[in-house]
Amino acid sequence: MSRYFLRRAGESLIALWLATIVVFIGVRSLPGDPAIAMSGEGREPAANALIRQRYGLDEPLPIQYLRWISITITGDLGTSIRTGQPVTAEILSRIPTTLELAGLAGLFAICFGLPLGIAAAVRRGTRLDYLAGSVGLIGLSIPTFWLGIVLILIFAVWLEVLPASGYVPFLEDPIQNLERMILPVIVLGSALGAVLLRQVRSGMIGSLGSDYVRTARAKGLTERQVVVGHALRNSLITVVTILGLELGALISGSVVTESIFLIPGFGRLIIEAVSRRDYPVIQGVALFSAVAYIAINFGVDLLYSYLNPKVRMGSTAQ
Amino acid sequence: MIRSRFLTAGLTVALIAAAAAAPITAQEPSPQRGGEVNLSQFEDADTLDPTFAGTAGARVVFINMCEKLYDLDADGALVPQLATALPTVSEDGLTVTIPVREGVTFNDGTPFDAAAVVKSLERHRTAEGSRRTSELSSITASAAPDATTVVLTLARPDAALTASLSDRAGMIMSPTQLDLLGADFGNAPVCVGPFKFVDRVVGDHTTLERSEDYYDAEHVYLDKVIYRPIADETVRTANLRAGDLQLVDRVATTDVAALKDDPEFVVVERTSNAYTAMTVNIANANGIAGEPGVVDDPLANDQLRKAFDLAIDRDQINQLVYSGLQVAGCGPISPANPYHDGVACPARDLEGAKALVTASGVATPIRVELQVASSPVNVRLGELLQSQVAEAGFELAVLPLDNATAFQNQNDGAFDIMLTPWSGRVDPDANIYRFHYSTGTDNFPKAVDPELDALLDEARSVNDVEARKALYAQIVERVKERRSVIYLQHQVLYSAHTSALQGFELFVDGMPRLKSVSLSQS
Amino acid sequence: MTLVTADPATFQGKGVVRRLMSRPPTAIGCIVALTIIVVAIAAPIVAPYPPAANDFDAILSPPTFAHPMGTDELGRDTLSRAIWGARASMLAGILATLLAVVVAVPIGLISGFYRGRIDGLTMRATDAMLAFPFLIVAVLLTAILGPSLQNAALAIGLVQIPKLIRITRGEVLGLREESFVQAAIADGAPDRSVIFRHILPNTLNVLLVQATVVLPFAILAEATLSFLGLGVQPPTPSWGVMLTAAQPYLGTAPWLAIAPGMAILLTTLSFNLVGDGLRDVLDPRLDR
Repeated sequence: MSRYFLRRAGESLIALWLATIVVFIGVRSLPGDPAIAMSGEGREPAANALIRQRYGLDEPLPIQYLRWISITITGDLGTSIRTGQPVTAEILSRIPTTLELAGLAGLFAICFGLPLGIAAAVRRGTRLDYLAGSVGLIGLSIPTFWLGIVLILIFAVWLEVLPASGYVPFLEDPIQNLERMILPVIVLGSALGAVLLRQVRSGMIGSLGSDYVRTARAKGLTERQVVVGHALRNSLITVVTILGLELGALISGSVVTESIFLIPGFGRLIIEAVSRRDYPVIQGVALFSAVAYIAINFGVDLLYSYLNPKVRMGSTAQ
Repeated sequence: MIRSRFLTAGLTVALIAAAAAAPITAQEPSPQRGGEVNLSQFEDADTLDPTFAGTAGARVVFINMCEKLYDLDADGALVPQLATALPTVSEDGLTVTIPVREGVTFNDGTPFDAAAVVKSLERHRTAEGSRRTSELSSITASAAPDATTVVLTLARPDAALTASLSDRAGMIMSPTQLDLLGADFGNAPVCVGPFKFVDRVVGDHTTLERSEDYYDAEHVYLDKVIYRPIADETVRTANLRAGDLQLVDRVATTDVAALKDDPEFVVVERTSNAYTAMTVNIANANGIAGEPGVVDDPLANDQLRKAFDLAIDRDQINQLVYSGLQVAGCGPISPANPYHDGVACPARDLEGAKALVTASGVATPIRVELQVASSPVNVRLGELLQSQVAEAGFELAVLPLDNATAFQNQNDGAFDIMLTPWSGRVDPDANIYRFHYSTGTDNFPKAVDPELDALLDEARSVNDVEARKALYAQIVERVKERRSVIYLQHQVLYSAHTSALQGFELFVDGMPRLKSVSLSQS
Repeated sequence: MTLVTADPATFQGKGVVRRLMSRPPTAIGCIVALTIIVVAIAAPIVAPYPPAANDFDAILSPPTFAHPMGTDELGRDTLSRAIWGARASMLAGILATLLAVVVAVPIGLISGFYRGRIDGLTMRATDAMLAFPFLIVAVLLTAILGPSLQNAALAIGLVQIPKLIRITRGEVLGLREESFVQAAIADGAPDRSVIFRHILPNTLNVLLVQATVVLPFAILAEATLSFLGLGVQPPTPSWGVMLTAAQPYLGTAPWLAIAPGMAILLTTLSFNLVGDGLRDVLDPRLDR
């Protein structure tokens, strides 16, 4: 197990290094530069030149990359060109918000995706299955931004039961905080819930028909024991895999969701930074999400190998 | 009988109260103190440092936090703010004397005086990376002979100087805070103003609170002002309706009618100096900093450019793109500006356009590309232009881009036509010179006309208003004939607020002044 | 050996269509999806008006006889634009899906079957790519390449590749341990035959589910990119562009949003129904 752990850790570091190159090249291929993007109507060539000089933007790209990497290794992501604040501080101030949003959305998705998926698989072909299928399909079919705007129209503008947008930190006012999270969580969680529902149902049907479940049935286990003891374990693998894979989708979704509901999270930071060409912030944010993703999938892999020992043996046999 | 006596008594009390509050207004109840206003900001600020800020989003915050030597009144006339009178200009136009207020303190409690003014002006003028240098380029030295007098020495007469001092270049910063923070002043700005800076989370909010140090604090009513940057105009209006905002700084023309019909909201409007225009690449072959050259743009041809312009139906644009709520325009000066020449825009001349296209001998359809900063309203405008100029033989492609790419293309000359809105300034010089002077910072077409340059230089240095008006009439005529910038609309700005908000007025610069605004606690 | 490794799917190609059509939801899905495809191809014939034709006498007109789904702010017929929009949206979706499947599946098969170094390299590369949220990559790519339908499709397709590789590879890893594959390998069957005859057919159910997730996803992603201002070039209508343009008029002219919204919903729903049906019919594990 520890050898497996070490190997996975090494692999993650390589992936991370590849990621830094992808980020850097991607960011520097963007047309425009921070000085031009930031200046708005105040187009002062001298001021723009100074910004380029101050942030080393006129140096050769490999040198800029090395400089970025060398300070990044020390945990310093540099300074935002736009605001002059440290990038690390900007990210850390946005993270709790997005974590709360994404966490609640994930929970929401599991709460409706997992039970509905299992029920649909077990009661295959019944009305319940069709209902679950419809819910899953519709969840997949609605554009996030559209759902957000329609929900604001219905609940905030017409019914006036929920606030349209905005964010109140949890510690400041928990009730306001949760009230303002309801719509964003539904918007962000519905697509994920739909994916979960469908995958759980499909995986569950697959395992209910598989050899070992048939063997279990043949051994005289009750259907309940079969479902809970065997098939459910496989569904959990599906849930864990999907959550790991959909983490990126959650962050993507949070970009749109946060824009619609004006939540000062990570997603909005990304969009702002890209539109302002604030290189240090884009790079920092992208790297941060890459680290988070790789770390979480590292965890998922470990969990996966725990849930399904066959895979672990298979991949370490080489 | 008893009832009527009570009524009379009540009336007497009201009259006494009104008499006591006489200096304000006799008929309206005196504004209540307290409350907080959440207002939208159509664009987030870059930095809150008046010297280095470039965005209109920062101006929206400064207006309530950083007073200037001069301000505008609602109609756009210049009035003293931290100065006590309009400047005195010497005979040769090279010495400008500005009297400034006494007994004023900055929001950190430190005293305001002429020396502080000089310190700020010098910073605006000379700090490395300052975005105020061109506005103050005529100044060669500033001095404070006594605590209430500032003397500026100019290299050339500058008729636009007072107008420059009514915006960021005229904002005075606390010398103590400047010494403390230096280039980081924007993280905790301290000026003279009705409200003072509390905190800012970039992209989320900027909070200001009522300043006790302000010289006119008794006429400031709100406790707190919270700015929320919201780029999406639909979301801004939805937030107002949902009660999360009390004031929206810019309302989309598509939302105006519905808000006007709703008794819960008040829509305020003002014709501004802002305009929408198209910049045509005439000779920008080597970038804004390079020499003019030959470009591959059919509209570099004067006759085709004229044909393109004649094919445009500005009234239809106003009706269909802006719900008829803006003013069709064809020049750089707004009809709301005293320098407007009163000349009406010619109507669409499709036949004239077709004739010019035929005469040019260029094969139709003439393919030309319009780049716009991506937004529903810009795309709408592009699509309508597309169908209008198609009738004259142009095949207009519309390319929506993000702002940074559009700015870059504009600099590099990588465009045929670029949609270029301008937020407008009070003085005509600031709306024309940079775009039309041969070496202007924003002469993206790279159009060169020495005679126009001479007129622009002259108009800068003449202080007599009537003489300047005559010069600008000539300038505008030349600009309209040249069509390096094809003007489309003068913007009428719309703001909306809840009916509980009292005393809000929209000024010609569109900045939301909250100094004398109050909330009725009903 | 053949008894253990026989893939039921390969023996029933002919019956598949009949079995699909015998399931009402799938049949409906097929009919709707086919209709949409036909309408997209035949847009010039089917649409009552050209997509950019202005009727200046009917600006923001509610549904009428002349304009069954109303007109937009420039007097263009919403129904016609939605029909033309089917072309752009479907094309973006199909291109993106094809790109993703064609690139990802072979890589996933090889990576999962051979494991070892190749697998390690592939996994690290997909880790590095997957580490960035889809939208960020798509936004960056379209910002770099410039906004157009092809670039949007390219961006959407590219970001799906690593995910599909991982899913394919995951399936292959599992299948590789199944007894019928082990038996085939032990019998000395060549790698190619093991991969194509025994493994690929058995990954189809998962791949089909994924492809039917990717296609509607791509259509939605195109709409999202348009929402962020990175979609197709006007005046070409795509459903995303139409939805975005309709937004300012939600309160006053909701019909502008109905046509493209319904179009997206119908398309994604029908393709999902078809995909579900295909999976149920083709899935070998369910047949016994």
